[in-house]
Amino acid sequence: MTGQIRQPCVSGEFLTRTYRISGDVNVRTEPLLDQLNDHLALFVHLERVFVSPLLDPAALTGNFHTAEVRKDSLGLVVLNKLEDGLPYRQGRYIGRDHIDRPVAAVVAGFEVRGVIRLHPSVNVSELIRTTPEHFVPIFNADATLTARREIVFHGGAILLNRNQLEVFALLDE
Amino acid sequence: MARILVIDDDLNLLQMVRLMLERVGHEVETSHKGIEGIERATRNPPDLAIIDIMMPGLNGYDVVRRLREHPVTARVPILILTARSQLMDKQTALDAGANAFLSKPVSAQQLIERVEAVLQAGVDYRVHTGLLTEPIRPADAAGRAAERAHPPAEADLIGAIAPRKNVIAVVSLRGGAGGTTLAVNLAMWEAQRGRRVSLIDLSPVGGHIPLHLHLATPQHWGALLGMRSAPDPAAVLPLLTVHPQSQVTVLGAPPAPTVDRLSPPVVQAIVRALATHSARVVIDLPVLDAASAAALPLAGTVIVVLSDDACSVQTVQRLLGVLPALGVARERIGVVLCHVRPTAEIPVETIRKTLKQPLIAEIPYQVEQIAAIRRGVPLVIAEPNGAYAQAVSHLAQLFEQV
Repeated sequence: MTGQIRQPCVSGEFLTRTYRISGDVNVRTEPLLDQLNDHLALFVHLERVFVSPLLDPAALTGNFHTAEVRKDSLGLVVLNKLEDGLPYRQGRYIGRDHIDRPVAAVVAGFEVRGVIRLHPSVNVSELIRTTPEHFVPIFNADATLTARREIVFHGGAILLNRNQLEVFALLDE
Repeated sequence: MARILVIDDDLNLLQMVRLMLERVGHEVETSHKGIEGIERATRNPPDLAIIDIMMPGLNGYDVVRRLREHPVTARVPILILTARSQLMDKQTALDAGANAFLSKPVSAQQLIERVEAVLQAGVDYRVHTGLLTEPIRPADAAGRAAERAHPPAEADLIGAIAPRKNVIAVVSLRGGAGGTTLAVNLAMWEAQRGRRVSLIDLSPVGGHIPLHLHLATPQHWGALLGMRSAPDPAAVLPLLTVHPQSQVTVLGAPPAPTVDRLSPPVVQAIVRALATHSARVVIDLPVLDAASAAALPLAGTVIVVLSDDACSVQTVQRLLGVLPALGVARERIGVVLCHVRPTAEIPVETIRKTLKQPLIAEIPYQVEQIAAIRRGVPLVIAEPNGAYAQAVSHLAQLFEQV
């Protein structure tokens, strides 16, 4: 048997406007959300990368041992488990007093619905407008491809790229 | 003890799965390449194969297809274990011939439970989440091969599973929660407005709609059992029975409980045919099986019914977690609370907090409900100004705005 034992990884679906890129990110030193929000790095490094056209998302049309994906080309990142979408400083999104607020967003050709979990004192709209971070996690979310509504991605966490955000709305206001 | 072949290019996972399964007494062989795994399986067929989807070279779907096509391995149960865990991946894996699907990361308990369930069920069954098993008809395998040879046009597929705005599915998995009563009254309310309405009873345990309407349904969907491919719409319409007082057309369930189920293409063809034939289609779904799951994506609105008892709330809470995976977008789901007894067991506010979802309607208890069923005259007709009928009217008007 050949191959190497790999470091702790998180598997995710990295969605651009044209491709579904499935891959693992090494999170031994830094959670995925922090890597995506690292302003000094333009790319994120993926391992065991499998690519599908977004319009035929179950077909595997290419695979690579590793690949670099440009972060600003990503519309959203879909993660199975909510915990995988948290930053190192989890307190921003997890806490005893935090509340779930339903949100809807349009980003990179997807309609996303889920909840944002924050302390009640946080003004969500203000946060979205002014946070210096590029990616914002939405929990227990569905992302429906607007052009083909039967294509739906579900994730415990979906990380939205604010640079490609077209609409963001709080649904409980 | 079973002999299990694990095919995955991830060495960490191979080691982990081997440890988990050997600990409970299974004999485990591993392979880190698809082609090598097929060779091992054909040389000495295992009792079960666990296969990853994302593998370089031959991917997991191709491995499953080749194992199914080879006479030596055609009857090896297959469990897919993959990080690609979206609904479309699961469907593709099952269509390729897998028996079960499990998402990574997986706990030892989850893996062992699923492995035991697949081993016990055998190659002729699919094992779903919650270890629900569903028989695979022999015709399914032939149908899959035919579909691969003659794939339906993409446009047909998109149109086939797009939700229809005029279709309402009423889902009530707890008996006695008022789901069938609500479905019947919604249909009657629509018919009173002069609309052509179809009511489908998808209960496999002898539906109750005929009881609510004092209607005999000599023709029913039992005539379509055993069909694998979609019937001609012309074959569906003769199965309808017209309710004389309201002109609602009813597609009844077989009068006696049946273990057979309609195949998903047949269910979808029925819904499509009636959605074209009628201004409104109301489907009564008292169970969640493969037939019901095939109808849900076609419904523009899915009403989930619960009553104010703990079991009903728990069932609905879990159902709401499952529906998105069945292709029902959250914005299409509405939760309705039916009071089926004079006093509430759980306060409404507690139910709202438990479900973490607003209730789109609350249907009050009306003492004449039982008498209405006994007389075969639904409350929206018998007591149009009563509290029950008024609540149904408000609910129905919500769907008119959609």
